Amino acid sequence: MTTFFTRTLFTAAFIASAGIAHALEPATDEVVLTVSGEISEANADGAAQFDLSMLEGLDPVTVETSTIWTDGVQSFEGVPLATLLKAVGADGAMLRASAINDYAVEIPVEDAVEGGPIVAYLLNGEPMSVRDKGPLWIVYPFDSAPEYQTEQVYSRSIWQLDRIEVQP
Amino acid sequence: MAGNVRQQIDSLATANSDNTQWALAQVDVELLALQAAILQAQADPGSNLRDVRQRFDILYSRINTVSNSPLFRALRESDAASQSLARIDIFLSDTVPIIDSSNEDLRSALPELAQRTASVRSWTRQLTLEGVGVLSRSSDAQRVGIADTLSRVSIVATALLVILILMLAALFYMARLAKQQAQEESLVRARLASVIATSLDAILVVGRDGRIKDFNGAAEGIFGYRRDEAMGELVEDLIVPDHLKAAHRDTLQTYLKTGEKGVIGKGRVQLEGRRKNGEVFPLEVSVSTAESEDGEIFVAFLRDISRREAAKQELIKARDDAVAGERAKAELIAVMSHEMRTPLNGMLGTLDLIDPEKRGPKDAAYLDIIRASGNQLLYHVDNVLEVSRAEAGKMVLAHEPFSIRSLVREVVDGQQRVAETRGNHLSYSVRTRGQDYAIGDPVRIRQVLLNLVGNAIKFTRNGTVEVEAVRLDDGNMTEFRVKDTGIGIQPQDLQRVFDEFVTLDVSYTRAEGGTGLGLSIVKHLAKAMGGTVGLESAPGEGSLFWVRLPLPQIADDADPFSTHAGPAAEAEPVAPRKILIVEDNRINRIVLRDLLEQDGHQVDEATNGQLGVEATGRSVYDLVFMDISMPVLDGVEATRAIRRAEGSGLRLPIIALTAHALPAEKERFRAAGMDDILVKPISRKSLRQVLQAYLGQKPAAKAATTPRPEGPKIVDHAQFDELSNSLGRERAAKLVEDFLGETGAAIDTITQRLAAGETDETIRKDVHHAAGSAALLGAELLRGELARVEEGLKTGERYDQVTAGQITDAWQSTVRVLEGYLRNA
Repeated sequence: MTTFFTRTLFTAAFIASAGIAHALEPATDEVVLTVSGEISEANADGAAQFDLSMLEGLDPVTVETSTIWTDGVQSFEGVPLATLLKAVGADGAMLRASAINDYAVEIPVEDAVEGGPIVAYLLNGEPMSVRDKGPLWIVYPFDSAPEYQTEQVYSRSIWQLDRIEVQP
Repeated sequence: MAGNVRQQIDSLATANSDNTQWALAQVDVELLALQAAILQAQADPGSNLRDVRQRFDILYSRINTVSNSPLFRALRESDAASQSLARIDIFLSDTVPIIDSSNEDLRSALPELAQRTASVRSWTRQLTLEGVGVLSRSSDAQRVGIADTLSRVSIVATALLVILILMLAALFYMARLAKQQAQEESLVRARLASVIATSLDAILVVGRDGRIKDFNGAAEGIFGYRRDEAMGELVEDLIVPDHLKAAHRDTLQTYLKTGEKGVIGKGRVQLEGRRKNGEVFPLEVSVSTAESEDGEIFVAFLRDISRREAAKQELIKARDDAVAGERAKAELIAVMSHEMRTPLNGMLGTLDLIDPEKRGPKDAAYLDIIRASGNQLLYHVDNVLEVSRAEAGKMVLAHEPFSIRSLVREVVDGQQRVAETRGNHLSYSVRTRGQDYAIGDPVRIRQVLLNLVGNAIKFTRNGTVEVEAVRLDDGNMTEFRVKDTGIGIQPQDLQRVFDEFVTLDVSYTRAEGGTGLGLSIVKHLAKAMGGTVGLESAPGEGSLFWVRLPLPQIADDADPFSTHAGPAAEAEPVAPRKILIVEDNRINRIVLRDLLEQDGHQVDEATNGQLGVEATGRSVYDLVFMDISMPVLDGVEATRAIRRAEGSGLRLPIIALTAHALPAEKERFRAAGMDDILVKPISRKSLRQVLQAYLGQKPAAKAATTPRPEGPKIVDHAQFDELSNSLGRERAAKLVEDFLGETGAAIDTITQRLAAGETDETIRKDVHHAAGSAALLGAELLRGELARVEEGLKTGERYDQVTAGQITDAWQSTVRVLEGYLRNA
């Protein structure tokens, strides 16, 4: 069975910093992600807006895994979904994630666990353009467990992500 | 296979595709969205071109996915799809510089972009359509794969099901087996419980600590404790009597220490137990060990055998009493025999001393009656003694050599007179084929013959009685026959005659006298000697009794005491000698002394063995008569003393005097140094025979020197008187006259023919007849002469003038006496 998997490496890119402890600063650069809905931390009109540098400040991790849309093992770097939700003080059961082209999926909050999905912004060390399914892509560590190799999980792996609404 | 299936299921569980068809269709959708964004930007020259750029990027990423994602590998392998993708790629790469140019350039290029986008649409369309075909094909293949997997799964499942069913069956079987075993076990338990409960024996289960673990109903009954009282108690305290406690403890301790089993497993052991009331009683115990859940236990079966023991004691006592009674009876008979025979012995002996010649005829007749009665009494006593001995199985048979011919002749001679008084002719014949000597008990055989002959004579009048002895074919078996021409026996009585106290005709037997024991004794004796008896008889014609006895033949002179048993011994006195009598019984002494003194011997007496030994030391004797049982020193010891004293010189003949000598005793007497035995009652004849044997001269000298002091009487007064009394004087006188006439003629004929040397059968018959007539009248001298002649004729002896003269002399003497009677009458 172990041959079936490729070890997933979780590498802490940064030592945990005090960045997430205080209220969100307003975005200073181009907004790449907007989190709305049942959240306690906001920086713009009831929503939490993130630019790329803000995401980079949220203890990003690296996930190495293959995907069904890419060829070979890829290295993704991004913020764990759990860390992101904590940063916005999310208090809900379901996330509605939408893409630039308005493709939308529902992700249960339970999916946001340690070692679970991340909001990736680097692929193999490079920022992802829209043409490369960027700038944000929710990536599950597919190779780490068979539970992550289901059609439901694939459908939740939304790319060209730009909005998350936390629903009760 | 199961592993394979498992792999397949695993690969189904992990999806390897997103919604590919939808993703493919999105290519078309995104192209249309781009077209729409371009049209909108053309329509509104002041509009932001961001939308156009974004839509292009999205389309770009879609195409990129289709070009690179493994999901679409199958699609890319199709020619049409790869051609479409190539066209689209050209469109994208041509368009990227326009999109990435400045707003002014892009706006000016919008119409061209719109036209390009429209033209690429046919390719996106073709890609989508191709994708639908390829993907549906691959999904078909996938379905087949799934179906295949499912069918494998079903095979595996079926196999599993079969295995499951088999296991279930096995499980069911085992369950049933277990149930059955449980049932059987509970049945066995129930049976065992009922066995224990209903056992008549007490059953105790005892642990290694000696405490009672179980106590059944019978145990309650036997020991008197209730089960709840007994449970957990020490066996030792409860039921072991005090005197066995130590032994019980030792046995248990020894077993626990060394495993030495003691009474365990030894089967039934008899011990004692104690009841609750303290009573100690005999027990039969059987102990074994068994394993239980609590470790080793002892199982003891105990049976109360107090009743059995009591019954046994009673039986033993009854048997002892019976044995004691039997012994008392035997002792009584022995005493009686001795006490009755001794006075009889004295009586009959004394009678012999009385000289009938010196008495009147009446006294002589009385003496004869007394003698006959005494002999009869002795005979009965002997018979009773013999029967009781035979019944007690105590008869000890002699095994000694004897002559069959002599025995038969002795018996016949002895009965001759009785036979003649009844007018019977008694004769015998012996056919032993040269094997005359045999080993056996001559005394018993004589008794058998005497009883049979006596019986025959008793039931025959004026007939014949013949005694035969025949060696049968095998040589050892000898048959004695006694044949008479008497009254015979009714067929229905044939079986009974040998029973005790059977007298066939009570009135007749009363007339004849008798105890009814005679034939019974014959049967007992014959049986004791290993023989058989039987008879043939017809009423009015006579009877034939036979006795068949095994009598092994032997070489002639093997009998240590055969000296006076031979036929040659004559009852003639020997020359006067000095004789010692050692005897404590005064009457016996007197009788023996007188008999000896009448023959001219000098007699000394000693009244016990000690005095006897002393007497032989003082004087020299020619012969000693030695009684056996005497005070101070008995005969056997006295004989030993005499033998020790006499050394190697002349041997003094010592003759034992005894009432009845058993063979073993005979041997004892002989070993002590006795030479012979004289059986009491002592008769003149037997006495003379013994003296003849030990002190007799040579036969030639004997005839010359020894006068016959006492020949046969010419006429037996007693017998003649009896005859005349019973017939009456007149008839007696008539009988005498007839006798003188008839017999006189017969004697004449006989003497003439004898003188002529004739020896044929007619002479023998005449002689026999004449002898019978002489016997009837008590003419003893004549009868004796005639009998001698008759015997001689039988054996083929020749006679001459001398013999004839002797007969004539005897006849003339007889005539004189009888004529005297006639005159007196």
